Amino acid sequence: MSDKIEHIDLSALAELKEVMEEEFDTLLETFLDDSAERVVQIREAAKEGDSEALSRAAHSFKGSCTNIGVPVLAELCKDAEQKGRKGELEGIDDLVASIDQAFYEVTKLLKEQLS
Amino acid sequence: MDSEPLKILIADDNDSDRMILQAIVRKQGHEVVTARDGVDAIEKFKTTVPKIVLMDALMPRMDGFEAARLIKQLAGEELVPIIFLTSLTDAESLAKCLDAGGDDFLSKPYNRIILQAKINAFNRMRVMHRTLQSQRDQIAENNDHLLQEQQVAKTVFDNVAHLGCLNAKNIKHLLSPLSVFNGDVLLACQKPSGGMHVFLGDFTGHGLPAAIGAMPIAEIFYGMTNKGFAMTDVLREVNQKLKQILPVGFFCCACMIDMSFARGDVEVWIGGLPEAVLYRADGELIKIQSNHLPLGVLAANRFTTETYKYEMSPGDRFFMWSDGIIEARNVNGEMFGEDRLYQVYDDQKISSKLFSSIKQEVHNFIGEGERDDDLTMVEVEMVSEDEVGMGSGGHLAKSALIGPVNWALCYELRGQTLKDFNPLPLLLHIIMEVPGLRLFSGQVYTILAELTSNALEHGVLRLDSGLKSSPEGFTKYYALRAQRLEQLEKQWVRISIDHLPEGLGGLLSIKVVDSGDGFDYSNFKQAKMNNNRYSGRGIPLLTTLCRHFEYVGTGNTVEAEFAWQPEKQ
Repeated sequence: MSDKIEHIDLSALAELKEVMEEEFDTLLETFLDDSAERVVQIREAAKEGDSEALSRAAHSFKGSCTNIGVPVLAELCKDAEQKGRKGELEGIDDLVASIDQAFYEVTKLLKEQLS
Repeated sequence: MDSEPLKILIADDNDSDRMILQAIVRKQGHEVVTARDGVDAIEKFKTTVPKIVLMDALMPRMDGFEAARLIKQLAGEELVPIIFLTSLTDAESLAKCLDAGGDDFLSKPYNRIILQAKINAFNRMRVMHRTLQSQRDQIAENNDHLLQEQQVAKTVFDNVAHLGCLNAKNIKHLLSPLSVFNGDVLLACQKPSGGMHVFLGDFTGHGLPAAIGAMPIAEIFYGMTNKGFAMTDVLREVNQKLKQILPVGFFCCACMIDMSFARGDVEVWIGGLPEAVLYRADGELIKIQSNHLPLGVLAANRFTTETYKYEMSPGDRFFMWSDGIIEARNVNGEMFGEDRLYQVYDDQKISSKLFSSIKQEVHNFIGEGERDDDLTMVEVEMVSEDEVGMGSGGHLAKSALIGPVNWALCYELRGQTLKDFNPLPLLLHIIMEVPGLRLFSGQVYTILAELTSNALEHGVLRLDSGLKSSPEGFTKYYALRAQRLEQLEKQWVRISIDHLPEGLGGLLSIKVVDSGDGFDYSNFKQAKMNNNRYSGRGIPLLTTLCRHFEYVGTGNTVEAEFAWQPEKQ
């Protein structure tokens, strides 16, 4: 399904696997652990209306998403970073919900990649 | 060089990003040190001294910008390339990375090929930078060393050349303080006889090779001039010395003058320099062209010393220069040239201002052009003898007062010594130590040579000079001479020499006695009384040279007095 292909970039992951070798699993687990933390940070920043914290967490999350190869989540983080930077937190709850959802999908798909 | 393993610091607070980067860099064969934030990065930098830093921009505790600034500070002159890891894309943020001392960016997601290319490129830059710096340090060190050596050489040269009388009232000169390293030499020295030697030389080349040649020139010039040697003797000695010490292709263009204030004339030798100028008070300009090869080119036996001779009246001026004046260039690269030089003589009607006018014109012409420090020029003015202003001072006083002027010696040669030893060089050497007497070395030699050979050949060996008047007699004379020399045993010749100071000069008395029977010198006495020339025994010449000349006793004793005074009309 095209939906799944957009959530994770399989060719990027294949390249990472080649680079990381036996550390590939550790990398994915680290990414998922860190990401869970980032999602919480984003959610709380949104709830408290702290646009700077939101922007910072989303920026950092975006970077690691790009490196791991999860484009949909990276794109959503970019949106959140921009909203935070501009201080326009309107509709941020919907965006946070989308990030939650996408992270859920990514977690599921990445765990399938673990050996 | 590209494959050389490097220690690389990766500073990133994001665990997964750091893991990926670390894996990529390690796979490329480098050693990785990691840090989780800016503070950590500074610590790791200090303890591990990495060659290249990969730095995340946004980090807790201390961000990458601040860390980059501190790392650049710590690195000092060493080039430690910092590559920012960033997902920032706006121009302002990227500029901030560079402002903080970053050298490049690497954007996420990391591309292995690009990362490797960047690491290699920056490593090449780092190595080049280090090479450059060590070469720069080397050059700076060499330069310091060179300047130090030049300073020493200059001090030595100044010590050798300082005896000069360049500051005499009748001399104007232009000479860079470091001229010796431009190959320019300007020397002036008053002669014991009161005249003046001035020497302007221009060596091929620059720097130490040129300076090395200048040292012996100064040494010879001052040494010989002080001792009363003639200009041509000085030039011959300088030429021979330079020929001997300088490598092929190195030589010294030169002009030397001997100016006599008493006689009012100048003698000029010029080899390889631009034409010199004699400018008379009445406006007449005489150009004196080089007619010799430079010094140090010809072997001693091919070197010639023909000179030009000009009468000079007080107020006449003699100008010499190196080609630096004529070849001085302006901003457009044009040369000052001889036409502009001679134009100054046309324009400046006051001859005492000529020197400064020429100097001014050359400087005006050069303007903002490249100013070489090799403008060397000298003007020597003819003045009346009492105006030289240093007759009793400076080096002359030193050289005239120091040295033996009041002494006597007796030298007796016996038996075989008479046969195979020539006492003349030794005796002349002693006599010439009298300051100022060297000017008369020719006359002194003649007197001494005649008296000693008369004593030996006629007195001791009893040879008849009349024999020499026919070719057969001539041969017989020398056969007898050789034969009788062989038989010498108890015979002797005693030479007594006495020198007393007399005015500015002195009185040299020579008495030669031999063990022979003497001869009848009544004819000589008779001729002397009648003011006639007495022939034989080379005596006519001696009577003209000596103030007093006389045979005494049985004729085995002869007394001669040679009175001398420094250069006179």
